[in-house]
Amino acid sequence: MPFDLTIFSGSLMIRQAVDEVLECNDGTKHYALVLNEQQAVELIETRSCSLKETGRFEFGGGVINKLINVFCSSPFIMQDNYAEIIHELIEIFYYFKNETLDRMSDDDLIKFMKKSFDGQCQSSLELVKGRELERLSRRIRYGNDFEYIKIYGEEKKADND
Amino acid sequence: MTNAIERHISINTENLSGEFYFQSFLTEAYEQHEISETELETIQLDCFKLLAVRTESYNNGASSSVQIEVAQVIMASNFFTIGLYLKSLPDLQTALQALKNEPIADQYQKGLKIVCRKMNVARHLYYLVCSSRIESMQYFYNVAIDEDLKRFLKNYNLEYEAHEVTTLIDYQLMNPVSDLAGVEYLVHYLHNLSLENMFCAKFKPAVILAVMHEYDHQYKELPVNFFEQVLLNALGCVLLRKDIEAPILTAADRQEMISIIQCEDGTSPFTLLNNTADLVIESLSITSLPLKAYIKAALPVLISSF
Repeated sequence: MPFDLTIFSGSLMIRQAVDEVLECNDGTKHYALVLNEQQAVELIETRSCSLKETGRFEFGGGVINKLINVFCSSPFIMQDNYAEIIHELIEIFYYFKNETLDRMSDDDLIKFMKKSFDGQCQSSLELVKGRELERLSRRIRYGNDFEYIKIYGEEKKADND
Repeated sequence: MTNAIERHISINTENLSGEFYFQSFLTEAYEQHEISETELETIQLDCFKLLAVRTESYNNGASSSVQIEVAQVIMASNFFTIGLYLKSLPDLQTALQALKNEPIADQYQKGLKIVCRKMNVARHLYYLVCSSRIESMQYFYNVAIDEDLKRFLKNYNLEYEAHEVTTLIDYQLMNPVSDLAGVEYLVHYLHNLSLENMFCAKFKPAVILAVMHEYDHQYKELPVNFFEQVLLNALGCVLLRKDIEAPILTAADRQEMISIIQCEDGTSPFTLLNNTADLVIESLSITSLPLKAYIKAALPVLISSF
């Protein structure tokens, strides 16, 4: 009887994750963004592949919901490119979760991605990935968290206030 | 008065691992049809939920995903802790009922309490080992007590790495600890070491050092066990009818001892050594039952080394 983490990637888990992703539609309807069941299943598949490629393990809907809830307010995302962008964001997220050595929380990493996507990168995921996140992860890997703290210190302070 | 007849369970204890108790117990219970497919799935799902909770706690809720190696370590730790709880139950029947009826999270919490208690036992045993330590310059022995065991006690992560033997202890015991992990390994190691110290304390420090010098004048740099040499000399002294209080055998004495053990007519070497061990125990006024058992358990190893 095999008893390792692979037993938890069964259909029950996938169903649960798909339901959690579809629940996000309640919040994104406001931005005219909706995912159908097929798209939700595909997002879960992308997540599974990304997790496998990056050697990570996740519970429930996990980060897809967080990405959707943050990026749905982006002026660059419309129904036409919605699912496609979320697919790419999922791949980028897990890759840079490893590259930043797990030292950034999910929320901080997503916030950084959103800020870059809407700001300097003007919706170019290539720039978000190849320039902004690369630079950030390099700094974190070399132990220079100063820039990261500078970027988010004030925002976090404002959030707490 | 109840007349209920207890159902015989078909779990074979020989198939249960001391180190991976929970996994082996679950596997054995499933293979012997003591738990159904549905029950197994429920247990697995509960384990998954527990892993999710423990991982969230590990991340301080900051990350929904972890590297697979981290998840595996946390899961192994959970299994070890639950296994300790199941092991602590009076019999296999009770353990099986607990596995089937108690939520996995409750079993984990009960196991965690046992881990904490065992850590307290380990600290007490460490104190005993320190207070009975052999005054010697032997590197491996001193490093084991002053550094390795202390580091183990300090670094042991009972929440997320309860199954890990975090520090390798180079000083080898006469009766090594096997098939155990985490705090269980530590407690058994310390227990055995305290018994070895207790035995050596029956002899004057100068005698022990002389025995070690006789074995090898460079013993300080060798990973040689004190108890083994001192016991061997004590047995030799009894066999050669020498004074046991000052057991210093020469190389020639050792040869004579080996020839006596191997050539004794009609008596097997084990019986002869066992009888000699009884005389040693009597001569040294050893009353501790665990120490007596420890000495007897060492005899087969000593015979094989002749």
